[in-house]
Formats: sequence, structure tokens, C-alpha cells
Amino acid sequence: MSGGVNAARFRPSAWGVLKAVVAIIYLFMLFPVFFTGLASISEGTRAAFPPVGFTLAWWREALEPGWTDPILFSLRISAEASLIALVLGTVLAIALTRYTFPGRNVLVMLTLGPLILPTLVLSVGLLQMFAMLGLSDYVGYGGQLTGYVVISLPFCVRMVAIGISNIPRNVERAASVLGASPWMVQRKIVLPLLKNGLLAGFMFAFIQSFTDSSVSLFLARPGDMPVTIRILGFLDTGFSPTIAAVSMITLILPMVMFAIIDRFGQFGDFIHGDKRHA
Amino acid sequence: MHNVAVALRNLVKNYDGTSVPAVNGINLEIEEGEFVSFLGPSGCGKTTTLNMVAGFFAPTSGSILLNGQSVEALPPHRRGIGLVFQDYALFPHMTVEENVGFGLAMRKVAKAEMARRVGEALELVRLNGYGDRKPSQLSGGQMQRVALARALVIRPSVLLLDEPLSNLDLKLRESMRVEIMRIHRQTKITTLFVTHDQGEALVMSDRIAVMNAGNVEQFGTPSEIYERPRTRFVAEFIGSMNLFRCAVEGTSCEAGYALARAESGELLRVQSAQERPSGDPIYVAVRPERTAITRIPPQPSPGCISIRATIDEILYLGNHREYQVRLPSGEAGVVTVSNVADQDRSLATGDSVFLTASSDDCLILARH
Repeated sequence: MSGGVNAARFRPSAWGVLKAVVAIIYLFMLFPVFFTGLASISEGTRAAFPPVGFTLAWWREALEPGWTDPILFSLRISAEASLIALVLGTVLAIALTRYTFPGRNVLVMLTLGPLILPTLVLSVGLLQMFAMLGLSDYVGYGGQLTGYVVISLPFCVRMVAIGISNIPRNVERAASVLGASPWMVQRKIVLPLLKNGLLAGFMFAFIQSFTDSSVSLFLARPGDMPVTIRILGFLDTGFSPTIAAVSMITLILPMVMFAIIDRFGQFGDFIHGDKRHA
Repeated sequence: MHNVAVALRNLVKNYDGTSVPAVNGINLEIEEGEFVSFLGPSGCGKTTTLNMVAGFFAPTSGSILLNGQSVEALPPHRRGIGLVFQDYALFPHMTVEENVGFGLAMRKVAKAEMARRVGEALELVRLNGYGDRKPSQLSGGQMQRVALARALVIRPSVLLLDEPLSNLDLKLRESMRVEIMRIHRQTKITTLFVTHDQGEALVMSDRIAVMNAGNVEQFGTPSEIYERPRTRFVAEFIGSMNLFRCAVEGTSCEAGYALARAESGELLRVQSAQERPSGDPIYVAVRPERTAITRIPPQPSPGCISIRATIDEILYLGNHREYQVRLPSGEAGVVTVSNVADQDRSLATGDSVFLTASSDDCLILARH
């Protein structure tokens, strides 16, 4: 019997170690979600393990307008902010990747700025800006929308820029030599090839907006309250497993949404960099 | 008289921030239906020239005429040119059929007509039946054929090929060469072929423009380029060439010939197209396969040159042998001899020998 076979039998292969590590990482990431899920259907009012009994009471509470309104508000404003950020981000990304102009590097840094800047600082700044410009009336919906666009713009620019730089220059040139005007090149070649980058940019922007609490902490108003702020407010007055049910909803809704979007394109490929259909 | 399909007039390209022009005043006329290669090492300006013809770069000065029309002001999509890239540049999100039909769709050709012409183009490149595939499902050679079909289907006035064979392996490259020659014969489209491969250029071209440092060193048929190179660069870039440092010795020689004194002392009588002043530094150039190698001194003859040398190395290469020799002056030389039955195989490394060649096979090249 060869040494190689012996070694394979007595020593865990690198692949085996990798699998174990991956499993641990996933457990680590998913355990909190698992416990939240458990808490949302347990009878006790405190999170306990093992869970006591089974009830849908918390879910019933979570599906009342007191909760569904802020959830719907979050979904709507996040979608709007992401779309705006995506349009602006695409324009910026095209300018930053396809053209060289004085100040380009500064602009690249500035686009990344909001990534580095704590959102808390940003939202204080936004609040003051609205006040100083005499736009205090727009704090609330408009303020949060602006804040979300600002915090999600860097993600859109990044994703779209990666998408653009993945399109070989010669592919665009080939199209133009074949008679496509610059506009047709964008429409028939660049946009379709950019689809996954756009979807990924939208997804990141959406998550960024949907899970934000710092921007809304300063800029939300009673009528315009996202679910994150509603949860924070609720926690001020104590704890109830309703929170667990609400959390599960805020987790599941975006996942369903992205599963649907994913059917139209493979942004998963885009993020992981692999080719599902290879 | 043929029509001129492509004319380049004093074409110059200076890239921003560089002092040396990438293309430094090119003048060429390419006739309709001709297959012309732009041959040169990387950085010689051949691809820059092609990109200017395609319209991707604007020339710094000079003009480009397609069928007599100046096109500098036209963007690439209005030039009606076919272009095949080294990396194929197929549209990855489209099928083979959609790729080939793209140019027709841009020209708003009717559906039925489009299907017919796409079919014809795929047939021309022998890819019928592949219409539904995506580029990712094709081999390198097949992608190149799709790229060719896509460029040809619009019936371009000029077809530009930018190193289209460089990404293919040797076997495939040789079969694609023949394929491109066949397609050119069938379509008779004026073709500009950019390559750094002298073999490709010699085999495929009607004429070759040998480029170096932004200039066309010589523009001629493959046999002119190979047999009558005008500069040392052309002589050495295409095939190999023995170059012996000499100086012109007197001007008293019959027309069409000149006497040259080699550094190792021999007086060589070689053919000369132009008259040169005595003492002019020159190279006497002769191809290795036009040079003979002998142990005994040859009979002195005005029709022959003869130079002493020593064998450094003998390489056996199957169909021929290569003798690497050194002259008393220290210059190196090469002689290739076909492996035929009646040759002297007794020569060995270190032997003193004579290199001989016909005066008419020798050329004089300027030495600076």
C-alpha cells in the first residue's frame, strides 16, 4: 500500500478541514437567526432555551398595522432610495471608469467617502443641513431618502464600476464598427452586460437602506418611521417576542425579493465571481 | 489600373504625453481586393494604424481615404468597415446568430433577408448549425470564425484583421491561415492584416508593409520583401540574413555591380542597385540558404563571392543542417544546407571553411 493512500486515511484532507471551517462559519452566522426564529414561536415572553410550547401569537401581533406600516414604509423608501442611488451610481461609474479627467481620483475618493464616514456623523450633518437651508419640513421622508441615497451610492458605484470594467473595450468597439451608434452600443451591449452589476448594486443599496438605523434615528418623524426605528422605540419600553417575529419578517421579505430578482439575472455570480452555468 | 481602396497619406499619430510618434508619416495605397499585411514587432505602430483606419483613434495629422473618400471625420460606426480582433470580442450575451446578425440589425435589414445573409456568412466560415450556441460554448477557432462571419456579413468595403490568429494554437493557426486565404479568394474583400508573424505575412499576403518604429520600411510583394529587402531591419525581421561588414572599394566596376572590401580582407563583387561612393560603410547581405560552405577554396570567379570562416556549431534539423560560422573579423554567419544525399557531411566543428555565394544573390544594405 502506498504512502499516499495511508496519508489520506489518517490525515484529514485539506478539503475536509475546509468543509469543517465553512460549516462553523455558517453556524456562527445563522445561529442568531435560528434563535430568533425559535423565540418568535415560543410561548414564554423571555427568550429561553429549550423553547417552551408553540404559539403564533407573536406573529399575529407582528402582522398588525402597528408593525406592518413601518415595514412597508421601510420597503418602499429603501426601494426608492436604491433606484435613485443606482441611476446616479451608474452615471458616476461610467464617468469614473470610461473617462479620464482632472480631479477624477478625488472624485473616486469622494464616492467612497460615505463608506468611511460613520452614518451617525452623516445623519447629524444632514439634519443640520436641512435646518440651515430652511428645509426642516422635509426632514422625515425627504431627509431619510436623501440619507439612504448617500449611504448606498458608494455600493452602487462600486458594483456598476466592476460591471463596466468587466466589459472588454473591444466588445464595445466591435459593436460600433458594426454600425452601432454610441447610444446603441450602450443599449444593446453595455446595459445587457451590465445587468448583473446593476442588480448587485441595487441589492446592496437596498440592504444598506433597509437595515439602516443611524440615518433614521435623526431624520425619522412619527408618520415616516422605518421598521428599525420602530424596533428601537419598542425596545425602550421592554422586550416582547413580537420583536423576534418582526425581525424574521424583515429578514424574509428582502430574501424573497432577491430570490425573485435573481431569477432575472445572476447577481450571485457577480458577487461571488463564479459562473453558475459554466 | 486598379481602384485604390485604402490610401494613407502622411499619417501621423502622437499619443498624449509621449515624445516619440507611434506612427510617423505613413504613405500607402492599397488596391481593391488586395490582401495586405502590416508586419512588424510590437510597438511598431501597426495596430495604431489599424485603429486609425477603424476610427478608434484620430490621427494627429495626415489623412485616411477609403475608396477615395476622406474618413477622418467619420466615427467608427459610419465607416462600413469589418474588423476582427485578436480576442474575438464576441458579444457574450448573444447567440452566434445574433452576433453575426448584429451589423445587419444596426442597418435595419429585414428579418428574412437577415436570416438568409447570416446563414450564408455562417456557411462561408463553415459554422452552419452553430447559430443557437452562445460564444461561451465555442472553441477558440470557432469563436474566430464567428468573428469573421460577423465582420463579413455587412459586406464591408475593407476588412481589418488585428492579429486574428495569435490566440490560437499552432495547428489551428495554420488551418485558419488557409481558411482566411480561401475566404479572401471567395469574397475578394480588400483586407488589412496586422501581424508580427513573418510566416503568416509571407504566406497570406499580396503585399506586405514591413513596419518599424512608426515607419513603413518597405512595401512590396512577399518575394520582393524576402529577396530584395531594402534595409537591414527588413532583412533581419523576415527570415535570417548574413550581414558582412564591408566598405565600398572604388567605383570602377561595371554597371549594376560594386566592389566591397570585407573587414576580413576579401574583395567581394556583388550586385548593386545604386552607385555608392568609395569607402561607404555597407553590409553585404546574403540569405543562409543561398550561401554554400566548402572546405576547399573555390575557383576565383567574378560571379561569386568567397569568405573564409571557421565552423562554431553544426545543428542537425532533420530536413536541413545549420552551420554557425565565425569570420576572422569576429562576425557571425549562418549557412543552411538541405539534407540531400550527395552532400559533404564530413565538416566538423572547428574546421576552416569558405563561404561562397553568387554575386547575384548578394545585396548591399546601408550601414550607419
